[in-house]
Amino acid sequence: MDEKVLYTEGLSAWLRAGRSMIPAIRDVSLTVKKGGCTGIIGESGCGKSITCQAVLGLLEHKKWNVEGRVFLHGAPVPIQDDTAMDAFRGRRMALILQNPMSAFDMRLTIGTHFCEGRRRREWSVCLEEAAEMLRRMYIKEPEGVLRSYPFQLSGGMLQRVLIAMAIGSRPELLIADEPTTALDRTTQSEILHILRQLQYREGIAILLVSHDLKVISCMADNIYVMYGGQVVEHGRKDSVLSHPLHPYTRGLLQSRLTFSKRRLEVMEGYPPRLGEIIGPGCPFAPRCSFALEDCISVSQPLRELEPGHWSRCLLRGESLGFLTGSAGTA
Amino acid sequence: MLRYIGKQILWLVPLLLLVSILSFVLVRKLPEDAATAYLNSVNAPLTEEALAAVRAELGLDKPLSVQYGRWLRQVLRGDLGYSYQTKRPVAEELAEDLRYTGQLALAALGWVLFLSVTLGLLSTRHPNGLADSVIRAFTFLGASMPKFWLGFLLVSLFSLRWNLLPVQGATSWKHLILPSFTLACSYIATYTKLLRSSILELQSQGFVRYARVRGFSRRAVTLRHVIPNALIPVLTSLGLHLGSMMSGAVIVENVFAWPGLGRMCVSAVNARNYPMIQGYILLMSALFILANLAADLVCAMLNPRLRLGGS
Amino acid sequence: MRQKNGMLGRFLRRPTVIVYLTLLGVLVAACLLAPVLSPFDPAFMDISLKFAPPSPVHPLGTDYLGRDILSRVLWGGRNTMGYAALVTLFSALPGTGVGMLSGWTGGWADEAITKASDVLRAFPSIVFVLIIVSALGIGIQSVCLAMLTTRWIWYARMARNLARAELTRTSIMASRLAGSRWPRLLTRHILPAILPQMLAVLAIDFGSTLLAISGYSFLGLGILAPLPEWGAMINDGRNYMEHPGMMFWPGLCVLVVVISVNLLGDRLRDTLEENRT
Repeated sequence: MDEKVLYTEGLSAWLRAGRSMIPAIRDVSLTVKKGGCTGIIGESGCGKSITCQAVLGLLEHKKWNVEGRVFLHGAPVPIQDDTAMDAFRGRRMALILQNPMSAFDMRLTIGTHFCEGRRRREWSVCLEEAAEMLRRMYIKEPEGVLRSYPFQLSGGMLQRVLIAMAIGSRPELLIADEPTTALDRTTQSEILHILRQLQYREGIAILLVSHDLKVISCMADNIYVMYGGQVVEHGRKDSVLSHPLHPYTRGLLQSRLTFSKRRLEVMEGYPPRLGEIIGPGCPFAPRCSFALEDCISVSQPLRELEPGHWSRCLLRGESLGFLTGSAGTA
Repeated sequence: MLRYIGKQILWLVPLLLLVSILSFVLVRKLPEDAATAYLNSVNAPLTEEALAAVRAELGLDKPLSVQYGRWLRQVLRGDLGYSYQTKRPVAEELAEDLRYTGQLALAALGWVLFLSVTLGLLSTRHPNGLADSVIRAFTFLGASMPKFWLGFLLVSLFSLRWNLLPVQGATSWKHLILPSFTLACSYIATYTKLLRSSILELQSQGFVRYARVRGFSRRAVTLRHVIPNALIPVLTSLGLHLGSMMSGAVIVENVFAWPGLGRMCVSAVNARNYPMIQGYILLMSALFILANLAADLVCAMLNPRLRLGGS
Repeated sequence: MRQKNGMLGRFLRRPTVIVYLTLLGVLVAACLLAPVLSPFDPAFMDISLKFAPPSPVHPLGTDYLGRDILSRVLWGGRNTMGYAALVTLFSALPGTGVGMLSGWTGGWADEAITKASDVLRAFPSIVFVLIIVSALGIGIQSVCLAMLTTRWIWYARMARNLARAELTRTSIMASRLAGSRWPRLLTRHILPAILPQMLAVLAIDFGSTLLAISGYSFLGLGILAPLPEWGAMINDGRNYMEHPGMMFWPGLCVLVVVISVNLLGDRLRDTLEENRT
């Protein structure tokens, strides 16, 4: 059961700014297993959303230079070819967004959104299917929802509609980019519940992106921690959460009591903004309390420090554990 | 929504009243009074008795307010009097001319919608690219072009030099091409500019991008989401531009000898044909109100938020 | 104050602005200097020389009465641009004043101005011209009067909106609290603040006024026959389409002036917007 649904290889993206290129994500390689949920966590601006967009081939060539390869069930995905991606987007890879309100055309009813692109005579069938999908999203009166306009529905309702539309074509992969951030607490847990059911019952693999450690920890089985456009640590959920190997992950865990979108208060400073990462060294070095001379000048590869648990830090886990003394390494 | 539209119309009532009073007073209180004008128009001798008879017949000896009331009742019944020039009922003549002006305006509307959407899409294909720059230059030129001059340029090129289209008149659809384009030109410029900015804005909007995410092709998204949404401001402001279009039509009709309202009203002014002028003014005001109403309705129809918000 | 000079400098340094400002300046100067520059009296006829092609004596040729087209274009510009400037100025001045006042006082007057401008913006302007022209007789005075009756309200609306926005600024609030009386407040604080924006509006409106005036003259409702005026000259030329020179030059002048003022107004607005951000 270790089949890979999604696999990226050295995915990098640069934003074109005149002559120069600003790196946004660098060498991101990640895997989503069949029926699994892979979580990407990191503060805002660390390249999580760019990664999702790159996987879906949504970065415009006019503005972005994208390198690296993406595989879906072992077959390469033409992320450089906008037109060819139409066969993947929405059909084999679906995306749900942070702000469901902005995903709808306010002129059109929810039902029209569902049946968009279908022939007129298929609409009645399509609407029935849509109602069925909505019922599975625990929407009690799907016909009424289908008849209403997006502005008449709440954010949580729209997010459910969005999920229903996304999985309507039975995609192999669902990319959820901050699916609960704009919602209130109760709705959040309902949406997460729905997502988990999709994963378990329908076997849809999920790539979940969030800055919220709680969301990631209750959903994901694999975690990638991103910082400054790079994956700084990844591994199974338990090992990453129980004994983080990278100082940044450690900082994240320590600040886990603040679940809001505010900056991680425990750590000083801010993550680098786009274009600020110029040096070859570790992007976290300026904020890292363990930073050594080499951290600023030498770039680190991801190293498998424990079986299946990788970190991009110069220091070994033990030395970190020794230095902090908290969040103990066994 | 009905309340919203009702409120809009309510504001037009004082204007309409003002225009009707003005056009009424216009005919009654002139340098040359209506009785004299009437006698002149029928080539009758200007004797005191004749003047008195006409005054009595036209009710000119009554106080103005009474006359206004009587006149208003007549107008509401569709009786606008007789044209001094042709001796035919004004309403009849206006209806005939309105048909031609309507043809002209509709054809111009066709040009405007077709060309501004095309140019708007072309210019947003590659913003700040070559096509965009050329189109922007055109919008500047088109917005500044005097209609009377453009008309003659087109005639001297298409009709006189290349002999492709007729110069003047209104006997076939070919006659309609140049006048309608001349009338449309400045609006094409305006709406291309409007569409360019709204298409660019739409392209960056969530739902347009998300439609792409859902796997719909660029073409399909443009057709189903970008164009309809971009057309909303265009359609609503078209109603507001009808007034200026009618003023523009006066010039265009005179350039191309198009037998519409505009040509009629200029000849009526020159002939001091007051009933016709009065009729024209009233008709324009009525059209104006209808256009406003239509614009409001279209706006509400295209915008479900407005439609459902009020009810 | 320095910031404002900087903005003006930035406006004047734009290459398109330089080009069009020069173009407009040359044309206006040539028309102003028509008495000196024009080789002939604009009304001087020489029937034997009608439809003369361009020559050293008549650089743009002659019209159907043998009048020198260049001289008529220059003199005509004085009329066309002069009346357009007059109408623009006399609608801008009271309009801005009333607009600022209504923005300041608010209330029913304010609402009336807003609504009236909404309605009038869409109303066919030809109707007012027809009413006044038929009442007072054909002539440029009637046309100007008709335009003045409606155009000022646009400025009022514009000035009102700008003044409203300005009134909420802290500096204005402060001087209000400091006890400045309203005439002082309006003339010292609000007027200078909204002036650049109003100038941009004025430039573009001048263009449309000029188009309207030459349009009405073309229709034979404005400036009348023997007097030179660009629109009227085109009207003269319509019966002699085989001699396009009669229509070409005055039309080109209208186009150049309108494009220039539109562009200058546009660029001024752009500069102002850049300044704000």
